[in-house]
Formats: sequence, C-alpha cells, structure tokens
Amino acid sequence: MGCKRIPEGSDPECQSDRGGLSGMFSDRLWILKAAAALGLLALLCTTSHRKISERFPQFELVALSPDSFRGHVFHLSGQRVVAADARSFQIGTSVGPMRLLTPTPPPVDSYVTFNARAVGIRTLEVVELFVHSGYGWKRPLNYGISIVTVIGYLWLVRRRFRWRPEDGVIRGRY
Amino acid sequence: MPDLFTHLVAARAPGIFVRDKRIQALLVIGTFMPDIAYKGLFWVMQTREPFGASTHSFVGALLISYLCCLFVEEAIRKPGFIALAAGGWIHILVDFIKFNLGAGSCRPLLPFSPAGVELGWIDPENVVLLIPIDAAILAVALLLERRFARVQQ
Repeated sequence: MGCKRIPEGSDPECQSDRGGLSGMFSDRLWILKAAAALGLLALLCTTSHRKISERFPQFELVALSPDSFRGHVFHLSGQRVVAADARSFQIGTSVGPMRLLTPTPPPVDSYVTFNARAVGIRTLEVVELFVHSGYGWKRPLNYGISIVTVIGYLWLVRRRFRWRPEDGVIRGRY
Repeated sequence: MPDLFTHLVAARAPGIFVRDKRIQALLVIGTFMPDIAYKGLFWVMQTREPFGASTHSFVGALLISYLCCLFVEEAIRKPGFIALAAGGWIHILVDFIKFNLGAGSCRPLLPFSPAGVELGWIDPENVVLLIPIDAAILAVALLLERRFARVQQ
C-alpha cells in the first residue's frame, strides 16, 4: 500500500498527510532525503577526520618528521609487539618498525595499548602501558559473537517486516 | 569494542517497555549501526580511524538513524527513527565503559569536539567475558516482558 501525499489522506498513519517535521519522514522526495543524509554523513566524517588529525597527529609522522613532533605524546591501541629487548620493544607500522623505550617491555607477540612521548627518530618513550591478556583469542571471539548476534537477531525479527525490493527500494511494509 | 551481544542486551532490556515489536526491533538494530557503519568504512572503504570516529558520536548516530529509517515503511518511520537513534546512543553510552588509557573509548561530541570520553571500567577485550552475565540479564528481561504481556491480556 503506497502512501500518497494528499490533503485528506485516507491512511491516518501516513506521515505525508501531516505538516511540520513529519515531512522529513514522508515518502515524498525519498531519494533526495537519502542523498542529503548520506552527504551530511560524509561531511561529518570528513570534518571529524580533519579535526582529529589536527589535535591528534598520526603516529607514523614520528618517523617522517621526528623533530616536529619531539615531545608530543601519542596514543595507540591494540598494537602487536614484534620485537623486544631489556629496555625497549618494537611495533610494526605502515612506515616500518617503531621503538618504544620502557623499563618493563612486554613479551613478543603480546598486544599493547600505550601513551608514548616522541624522543627521537622512530623512538618514543612510554608514558603509560597496558598489556592486553588473551588478545589473540578474545578479539576473534568478539568478532565471531558479534557476527552471529547480528545475523541471528535479523533472522529472528525478519517476520516483523515485509521486504519489498520490487517497489524500487527495500522497505519494511505491512 | 564490546561485542554486539552486549550491545543487544543493553538495548533489548529497556526494549521490554516498547509495545510495538517493529519499533523494539529497530531499537536493537539501532544499537548495531555504529559498529556496522564504522567497520564498513574501515574494511570496505579502507578509511582510517579518524574518518569513521564520527559513527560513534551523538550527531553521527542521528544521521545514520535517519538514513536507516528511510528504509522503513512510512507509517512507522518517525518512531522508527527515534528507536534507531536511541539504540545508537545506547551503543555510545555502553562504549564509555571501555578502558583506553585516558585517551577516550569514543569521541561522542564530534564534530564540535574531537576529545575522547571514557569511564575506563573494563579492558575492551574483556567485555566478551561478560556474555554469561549479559545472557542472564536478557533472560530476566524476556521473562519480565512475558509477565507484562500476560498482565495486559
């Protein structure tokens, strides 16, 4: 059943028949509303990317221009330790390995989150360090449970909606 | 990130007070959307973390919810939008519990402020260990829902 924009709508629930903000939720100019929402979301992502990058520069910049970022504190989450010695450990990045100085280096293949201050070329001094225990099995378990949850829930509630792709867009309809 | 089962329970428990089953489903689907949008940008579009961070902001959740609600039938689109947005906001609030060394588990005030916010209660990787507790909460919620339904009948 389509919902036509008519002054005296026969369907009391039809959003098109109301004024005000309900116009945002009507079928009228549906594709333009979807495009506007997508455009605003893209603008939001771009603006956010710019603001975050200004306030929190990319970690890899320590390797590219070390003098500019000397003393700057960087934060990285869930990084795998690729090498370690008595006074430091290394992590891999897109611009090669980075060395992190700490009196308590974590073991190789462990996963760490840290705040570290740039002190030299590809070298940072750890300010705070957190070693994730069991990251190797907890992360895949997390993704597995999440995928099963989404698919399982959508399967369970599928009968609450009637999908009509033949109408041009996929919509739930009764 | 907390697993989506934890997010489902966080939205489904208050969902027992939602009488329309379609709106209730949209509340739960709304709580999946920030992670689906973020991982979609990250894996499919190959974007960096700062680009997708706004999927876990209050404004981002509103925009994603509006986009999603356009795919719902017109008659329930407005309450559907409210349910999807509420689900998205519940997701962000649940993410606050994560510990991230003070850097913030998400950036909820984007695009106005890029500052991260966290309560820092739990290692994000350990949230998956809460699943038995989540399952117990879900079971209690479903029992209460069934009891409310009987009382109404």
